[in-house]
Amino acid sequence: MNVSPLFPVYDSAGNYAKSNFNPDEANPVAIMDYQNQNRSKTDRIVGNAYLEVMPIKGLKLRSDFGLDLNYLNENRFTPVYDLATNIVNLHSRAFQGITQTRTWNWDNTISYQRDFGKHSATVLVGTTANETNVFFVNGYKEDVTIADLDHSIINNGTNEDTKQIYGSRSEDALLSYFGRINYNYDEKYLFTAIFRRDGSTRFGANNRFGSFPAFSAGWVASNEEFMKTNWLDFLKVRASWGRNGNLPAVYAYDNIATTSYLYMATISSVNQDYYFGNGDVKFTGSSPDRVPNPDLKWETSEQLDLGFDAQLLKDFNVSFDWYRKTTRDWIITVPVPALAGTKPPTVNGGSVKNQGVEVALGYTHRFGELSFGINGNVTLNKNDVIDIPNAEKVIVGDANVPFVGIDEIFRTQQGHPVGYFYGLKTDGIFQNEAEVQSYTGKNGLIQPNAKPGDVRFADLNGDGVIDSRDKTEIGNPNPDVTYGINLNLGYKGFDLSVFLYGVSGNQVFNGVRDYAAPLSNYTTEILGRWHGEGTSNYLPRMTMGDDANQNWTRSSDLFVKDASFLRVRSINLGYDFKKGLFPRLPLQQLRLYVSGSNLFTFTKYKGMDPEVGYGPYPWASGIDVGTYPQPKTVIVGVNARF
Amino acid sequence: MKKIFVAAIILTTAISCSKSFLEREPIDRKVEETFYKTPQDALESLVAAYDELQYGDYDNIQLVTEIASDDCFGGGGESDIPWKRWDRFENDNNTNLNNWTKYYTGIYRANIVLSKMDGVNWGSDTTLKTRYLAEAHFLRAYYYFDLVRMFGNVPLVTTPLSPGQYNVPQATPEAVYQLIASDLKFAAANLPAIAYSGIPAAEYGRVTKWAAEALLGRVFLYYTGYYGQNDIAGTVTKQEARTYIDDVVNASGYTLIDSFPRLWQSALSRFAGEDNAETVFAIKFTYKGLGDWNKHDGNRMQVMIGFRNDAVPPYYKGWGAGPVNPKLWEAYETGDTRRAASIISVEAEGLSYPAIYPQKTGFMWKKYMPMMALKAEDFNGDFQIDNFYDYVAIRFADVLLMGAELNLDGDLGKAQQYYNRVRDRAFLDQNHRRILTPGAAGKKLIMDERRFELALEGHRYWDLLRQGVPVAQQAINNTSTDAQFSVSFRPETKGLFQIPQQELNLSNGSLKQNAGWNQ
Repeated sequence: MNVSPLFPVYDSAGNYAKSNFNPDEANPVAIMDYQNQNRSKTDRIVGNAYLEVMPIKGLKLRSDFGLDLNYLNENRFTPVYDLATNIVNLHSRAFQGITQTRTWNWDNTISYQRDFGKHSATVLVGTTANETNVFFVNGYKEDVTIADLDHSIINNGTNEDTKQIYGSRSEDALLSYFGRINYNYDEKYLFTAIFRRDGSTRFGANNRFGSFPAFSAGWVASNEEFMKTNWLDFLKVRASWGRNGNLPAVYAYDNIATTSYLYMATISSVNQDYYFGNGDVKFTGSSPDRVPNPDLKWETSEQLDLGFDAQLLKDFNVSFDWYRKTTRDWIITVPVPALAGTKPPTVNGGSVKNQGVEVALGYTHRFGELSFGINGNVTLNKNDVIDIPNAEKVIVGDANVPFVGIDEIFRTQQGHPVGYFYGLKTDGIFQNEAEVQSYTGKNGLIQPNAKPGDVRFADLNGDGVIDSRDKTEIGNPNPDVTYGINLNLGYKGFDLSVFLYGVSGNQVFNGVRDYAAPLSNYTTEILGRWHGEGTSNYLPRMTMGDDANQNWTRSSDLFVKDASFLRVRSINLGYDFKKGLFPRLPLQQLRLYVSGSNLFTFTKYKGMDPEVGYGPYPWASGIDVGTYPQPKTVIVGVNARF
Repeated sequence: MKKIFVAAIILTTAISCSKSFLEREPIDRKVEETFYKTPQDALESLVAAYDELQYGDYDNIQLVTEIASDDCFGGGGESDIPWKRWDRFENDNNTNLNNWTKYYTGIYRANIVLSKMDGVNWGSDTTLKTRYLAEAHFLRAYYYFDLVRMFGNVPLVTTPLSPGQYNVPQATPEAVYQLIASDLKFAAANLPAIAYSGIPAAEYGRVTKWAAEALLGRVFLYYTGYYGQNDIAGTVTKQEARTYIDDVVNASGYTLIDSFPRLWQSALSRFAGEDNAETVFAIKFTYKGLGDWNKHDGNRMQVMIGFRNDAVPPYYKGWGAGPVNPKLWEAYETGDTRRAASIISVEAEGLSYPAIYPQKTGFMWKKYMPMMALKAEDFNGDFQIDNFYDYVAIRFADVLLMGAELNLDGDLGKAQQYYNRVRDRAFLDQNHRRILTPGAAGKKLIMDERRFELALEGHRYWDLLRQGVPVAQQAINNTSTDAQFSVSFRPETKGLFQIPQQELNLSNGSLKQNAGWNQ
């Protein structure tokens, strides 16, 4: 997207064309071709066996063992290429890799079920253990004798100096003890209590196990004699409260092995070598990997839910929930000042509350040959950080996201939504020198470096300078409302289903254009920029990105865009010949269908896709870095069932 | 059937109860409790402290300070905005973040060595322990000196910190220099006095007594000059500094090699080689990272100053950073062999260099220029990251000039002798000597000589600043009819660099930005 439109994909000889304009600019089609030559094969064996005995009536002993073996073989090939002065690969490379993942799971339970008149109770206790082992060996050799993907095996490489082998093994295990009591009285009053104690290898001895209780109660009012009516078919009122535990997430930049031992003071010897002596002799260096946190413990999600489900007049379904979900001891890796000297610790960092209501309505009916169904649901959610365990109650985000040179654009802070956008408020464009000169505070000019056409930033704290103390919440990546509508129609052999999905109240930080690469493309929006007095009071003048006013390297609301959308997620239209024209077909079904996904999107957002939102941490999101948008697809197919 | 089941239950219970099921140790990592026990562990921790010396690429301190000085512009492509910002003293947010991080990472690793050596089982012989401690003290001083020269007001951290201790306020420069001076004194006192000829070739690159003494001289001159002091806060007096430098001159066995151009890779077959008799301390680089971007074993600064986009034989390609100011080329006297050995004049060498880019001057670095005949690709490396020329951090010629400066108002004869050695080598005769006099005139001659001798080696900016901000301002300001070459030093910054915004944010208010820079 940032490639200039000044050269074709192929030249007249049919080869990939090169840019003669920018030495750092490669033909994107060629890059996709050359850098994505890979093939992988997965063999998977999944097995499950159980044993169940009932020594006396109601007493059940069960042992359940499951095994999942996954074998992945990969080949990759990188050809020699020369796509631009500075985008050159001199050595072809054959890569091979094998990854084995072995997971087993073993549940053992004892349960006892007994009815006493209208009372019915089940008591269950058990244990679960599981373990995942990953074993991999990867390697490559360069300067291959047969240069294509089919022959990209290590033995075809000839360069002994640059060959590489990588291999490792990791293990991860979980052990739980649990008990459960179910009780119900006459199918009217229902009660469940669960208690779990979960332990994981990802925590140290101090906090290896966590305890997680849960309770739920329900009243099926429609089973009461006094509630029997002809319009209310079913009504259940329910309440639940429970906790469950979450493990540390696996970060993209880390491998499994290191995230498994975040609590431990590990020492790494990777890439810390130094070469002494006249012949450059390698010495291995070792230093602590990260700041350890021996007290790391389970993150707890606590959820309180009150609601009801009802069915009315046979065709209408209603369900309603009010919920409050609180994440406590949030597991999070927070940036720390560089003087820590190594990677930051992973900590249990504060709590986050999500509170809202969820309503679902449905209607289904048959009108003769026509069946009709519509379901809609809407969730109103409010996200709030209720505590961050440091004095300032802030988790500071990174600078240089989404492009090198920009200041911090997101952070998490008590009293604000998770990962909110953080920046300066803008106040239009300086239309002329007089406006620059008249924008004064107690120290004289507030923006002395500004030229006409530059952005006027708001001096929120009124100290006469624009700096980080003027930054504030300028957007929220979390939607207030999410909704979906599902529509189903059937008539004789025809069936039609439509699914719509939408969100509103959220913003995206549009960081697609890299202002550190001034030669990259603009969207047509740039035509509306300031280019003389009165031309725009929103988009600043065009610069090479080095303007002293830092129009585009300070985080500001210029980047923040409304990203509400309604999307036709899917449409399926089918015709079943068996149900329609040819009922005598010797098949159970012969259905011809057309299905489309993401065909229509209604949004004010000008980027490629309002739904794509990157974040460098699990708690940051809604940053558009120009990721490949969700494709529109249309599929025509046939289902046949015998 | 029941028996099998009972057996299964027992087995599960056995797994459940055995602690070891959930108690694992990493397979690809060592663990701190069992590390730092043997002399080999100690060496590995020390190597990790050395490793950080190799970091830095577009923001390498040698390059950045040459760009900030009067000798170079920013250059590079349109996208390379940081180079132009350093050249013009413009505000940015985080262009200095990598340097800040590099130095604190190095300091942390040195602090780890210093804090762990007592727990190592050394046996009866503690020679190694003393040596490793001395080297770690030197490295910590080296990192702090670059850090405090750049940023002026920095937190002082002398032990590995625990979570919750990270909001360290900035220390006074005096306190930081006290630590640097005492670290270097420790290193100088505890490393053996083995002359250059006695140092095994396999140990080149390791810190020596001479390196510590020479760096002390440099620190003394900078601190006393920039802050207008007579000594380093009671830690090192001028007389001590003289003694240290004289010791390097007299006892180290280092000397000037016969010809200045032979000091540099550009001499190709005539190159005197790395670790030659003039190399008091060098940061070692190698091509042996072989194109692996995760390793930082090559000299990543070199590609930055290479000829932009395409090789111009005999010189190799790179990004065109730091175009040399023609004023430097013009300042050399006729007959000075250092001019053409330090700077490439595209015109004088009859080169064809068609690349177009901002602040192009037609003068390039010759010192550290990647050479076509010594390119990383020929050794299976990558041209961007595997250039392999060591950075000579302390050169014997620098030691002589420091000695001349320190003795100028003490032993003038000695000062003159040191100065003559450098000048005679440069002109290959004795007819270009100048007479040193005590006071400003003699100092001026020495500072000029430093500019010519040490051009592009990462000393000029500091040499200007230690003569006072007005001297730096006058030298650096560049007026030109061509706006791209206009540079105005901003005296309100006192020449200090902008503290990275990210670190200010993360410090939660305990760090204050330097004067003259945006918050």
